Amino acid sequence: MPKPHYETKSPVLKVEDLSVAYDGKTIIKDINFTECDTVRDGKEQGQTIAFVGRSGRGKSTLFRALSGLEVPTTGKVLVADYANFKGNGDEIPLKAVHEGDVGFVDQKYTLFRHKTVMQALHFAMRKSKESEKEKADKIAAALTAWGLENVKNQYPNELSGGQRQRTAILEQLLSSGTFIILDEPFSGLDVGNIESVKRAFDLICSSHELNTILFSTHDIELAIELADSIHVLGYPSLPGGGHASHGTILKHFDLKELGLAWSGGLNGDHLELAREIKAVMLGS
Amino acid sequence: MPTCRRCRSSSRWANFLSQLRYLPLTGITFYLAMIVSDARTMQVWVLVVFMSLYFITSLLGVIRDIPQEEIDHARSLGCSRWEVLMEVVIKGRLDYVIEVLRQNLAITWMMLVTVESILVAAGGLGVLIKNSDRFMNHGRILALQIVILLVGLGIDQFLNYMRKVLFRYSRI
Repeated sequence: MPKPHYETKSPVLKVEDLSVAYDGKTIIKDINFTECDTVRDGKEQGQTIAFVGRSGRGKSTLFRALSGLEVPTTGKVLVADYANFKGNGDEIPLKAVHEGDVGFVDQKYTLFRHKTVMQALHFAMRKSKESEKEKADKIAAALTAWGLENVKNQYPNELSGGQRQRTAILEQLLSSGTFIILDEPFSGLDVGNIESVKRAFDLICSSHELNTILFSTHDIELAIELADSIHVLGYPSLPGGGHASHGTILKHFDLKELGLAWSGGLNGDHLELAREIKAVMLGS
Repeated sequence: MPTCRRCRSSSRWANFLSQLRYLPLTGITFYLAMIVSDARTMQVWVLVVFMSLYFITSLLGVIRDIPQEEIDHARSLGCSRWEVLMEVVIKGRLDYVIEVLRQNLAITWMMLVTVESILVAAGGLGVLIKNSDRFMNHGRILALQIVILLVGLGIDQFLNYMRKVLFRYSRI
């Protein structure tokens, strides 16, 4: 299969020397990575970044720090500041992340239990500078595109699993704009709901080139199928043998560079990569 | 969630008041008698104090049981601390408050008769039962018990119905 042509532009997410400790115990340390805006000819292409690693390696803590819910002990998380982006070929400026800059969806797809789908989406857009008419139009368009039109007046307890997932993702997307983090979005889902979330990913990525999804999963094959960049978290090896007790990024796989991104399925090369990722995980 | 100094202070106060539920009712009556002279007002005050302490305890339990995910969800939508309080704790748990109120009213309804029998001067169902008890009037005691039970059940059913009607999302 020919390698898809793409171009890498300015950074949209930059993490520098990030560490988080609770009560003196370091959970993650020395996290450094940069993700850039990817552009493909004739196609809107957002970024899909996966984080894999064994349990307890700090994926959820990293996500909390990336979404601004956790204040880093050291280092910083910088995200694209689209509000101050002038366009005309300039680099997108970066700013320190704050609560609300990055959408965060937990594995339970938590929603406000007292708000209908429509009320939740309006609440998510309450800080937007758009007029009420523009907001209403945007929400109406999103409800149709995400197949939620018929359930817009229903409460979370009246929604099916798939509808609930789409509402939770859409709500965060309308609030944060372009960034969304999903902590183990496929955990405990049946095959139908997994497909529903995969379609949501596709919808996000194909609707704007700056849309960026970060997600974690224990399903390596699924990560390879969906992501264009994979980070493996684990405990780093110590020089004298053994492992440290904090998580860090052990390896990064750029699937675009490897020619494995956006292939719509898995072939032999993908499965070989899965084996390599599993080997890194097992050694950590 | 990082809590502000005012929140921590309120929490300490609520916990302190909650501990007071172990105070004996007769003791509360004694001190209230020093500031309230009217018997009916006194009955009401004893019940208010008694119910408030249990109500605070139950509400503290409701707040403690709010999952961290709900707070994080609100924060990820850019909610300020006040918005988190309003959306997650107050609006998000209003149906629980009705439920807690229902449970507490059941206790209070039962206590009403006891309070009336302690503060006999203002009369009431409790006094009627006490007097009937004195004259071994079993028929009247039974009739009063049935009246008290039916009124209590009526209040209980009404509150449960109101919770379901007002809060469609409520599945407690």
